[in-house]
Amino acid sequence: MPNAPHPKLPNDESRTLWVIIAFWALVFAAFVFSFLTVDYSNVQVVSYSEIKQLIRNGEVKQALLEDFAITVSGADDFAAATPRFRAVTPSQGDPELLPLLETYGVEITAAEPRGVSVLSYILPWILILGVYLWFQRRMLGQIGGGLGAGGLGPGWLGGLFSGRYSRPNESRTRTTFADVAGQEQAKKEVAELVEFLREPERFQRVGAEVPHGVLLMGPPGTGKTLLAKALAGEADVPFFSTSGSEFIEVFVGVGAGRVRKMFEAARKAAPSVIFIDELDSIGRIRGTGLGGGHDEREQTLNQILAELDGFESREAVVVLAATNRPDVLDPALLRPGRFDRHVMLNLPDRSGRRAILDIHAKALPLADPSDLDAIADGTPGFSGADLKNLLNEAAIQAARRSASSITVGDLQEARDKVMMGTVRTLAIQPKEKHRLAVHEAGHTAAAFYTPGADPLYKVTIIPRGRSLGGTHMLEREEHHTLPEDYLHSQLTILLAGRAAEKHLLGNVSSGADDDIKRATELARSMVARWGMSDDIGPVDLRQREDLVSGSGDGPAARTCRRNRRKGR
Amino acid sequence: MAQPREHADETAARVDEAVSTLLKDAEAEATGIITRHEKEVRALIDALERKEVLDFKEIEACLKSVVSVVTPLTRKNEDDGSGM
Repeated sequence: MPNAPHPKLPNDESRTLWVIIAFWALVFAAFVFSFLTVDYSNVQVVSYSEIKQLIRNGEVKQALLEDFAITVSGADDFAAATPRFRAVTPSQGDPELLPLLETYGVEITAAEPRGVSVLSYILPWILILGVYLWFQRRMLGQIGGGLGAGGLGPGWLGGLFSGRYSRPNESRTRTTFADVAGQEQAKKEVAELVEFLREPERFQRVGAEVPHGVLLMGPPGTGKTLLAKALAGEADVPFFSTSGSEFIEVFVGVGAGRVRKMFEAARKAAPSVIFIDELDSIGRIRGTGLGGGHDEREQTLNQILAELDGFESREAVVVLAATNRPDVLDPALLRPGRFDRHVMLNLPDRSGRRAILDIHAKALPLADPSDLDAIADGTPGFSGADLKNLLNEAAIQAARRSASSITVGDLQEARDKVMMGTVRTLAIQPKEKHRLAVHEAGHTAAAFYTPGADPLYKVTIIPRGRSLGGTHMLEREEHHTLPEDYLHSQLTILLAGRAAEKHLLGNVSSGADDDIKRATELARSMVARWGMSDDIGPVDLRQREDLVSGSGDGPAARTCRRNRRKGR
Repeated sequence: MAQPREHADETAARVDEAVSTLLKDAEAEATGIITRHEKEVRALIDALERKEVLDFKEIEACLKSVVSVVTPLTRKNEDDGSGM
């Protein structure tokens, strides 16, 4: 399969070319043919009466009678260079002509009546049919592609089943584990697979079965795709990558067909790596959802399960899948023999961030590489992708100044931009500005005086992104769980803006909208999920399951990160 | 799409009540903090209106002027480290 992906395109073009060539050749041939029959050079066209006059004058020795014309010549031989005369005979017929010729002793030659060739009847039909078929093929080709293994030969409906995974490509720049930083644990686990891909025989000899399915889990931007690429690059094997959503098509069964195709291709290319991104788009728990299931998705999922089972243990094909919602995956995907190895990627810690920054900054002209230390310090909660974005923003800043290197100022500005959004120019009335200042000062004071709160970073009343002002705090490193007093302090900080307005200005405004919403969410989580209310106790009373993503620390950490980043 | 709740309406009401108690307590505490440190907060508001952006050192200069606060010293160092 890898070598016969879309044979349609070049074929189609050459066929079109052939049709055009054939057409012109036919026209040309007909043209030439009609001229070749009679040698018209040296022939003078005259009127019929003149011809008759010539005969009567006795100047004619030869006459050639054709269906609708008469050619006469004064010489004994037609081939001679004497002038010849030609005239069209009247269709009414001239009974005198032949006797006249006989009388003057003209040698009469009659040309065979030119019969209508069969070709002229068939040719138009052939042309019409040809054009029709050609169009039809083209249209089908556009729908389908080439029916690959379907057996109808290349060119029919095939693309539908051939799948849209990107085929291994040798020329691609190799990604190795050296390009992955800040995910040491995950790297170690994936690195084990490299040996298996490199020398599968060694594992077979001792009867070891190597995991075929590896599930990479982690928040967005933590490098799941990168890790998969690095595995393929490190082991130097073909890398088949696709996204879960690409399997799905309007027609039921197409997804399953694509899965089959891809696994088939990967098996042929073994040892190889298959990477399915966003597995949760097809791997969702089956049979859920109201109002009927999702046939296509389920079929695709079933096919993947079947393919994973179908690997013989000696086939060196490793399937990697990435998702940031492992909680919604079908349990059957996670059982041993399928995606049994789970690799967790976390948001990088300080040293991890530093390592990531180092990798991305390699190509950038930094004024002082040690600036990155400060950036790594000040970006807790940033993922690898965030950091890459930050450096890119800094580079853009530097380019805007037409500077040759990126200074610490650029980096700081880029971080503010990534964390808080772009500065917005917004005309704010002095009175409103005062209220804004009061509001933010309330947040800031509460954060400052509450023990155990996150350290403050910056407070601003310059509108950035979607917020009008902001109190920015830096996340404490590595908290995976949130202690109760910390959450209480969060609530206090969130509501302090409103409290300040109320206390210092005497009334409140709509500016606290988002604060109240987030505080309520947090408080509800505290009561209904984490049992932090003595009255109710440790009972799970959450309302809607689908809004929260499973495991304990996920949403909580996320909520708090949001608090910090966009605190308003 | 409405999913059936797995607990009684009465429990839900108690949850709502607990949530609002939590929030009211938090607001009371926030008001308390602002009342206690009103002078400092007003200084902060002035500074904020003048400069529009304040970093941690400037915030500290405003808020720490009069009384020493409960903030442990270690935290300040940590802030200095991670703040910049």
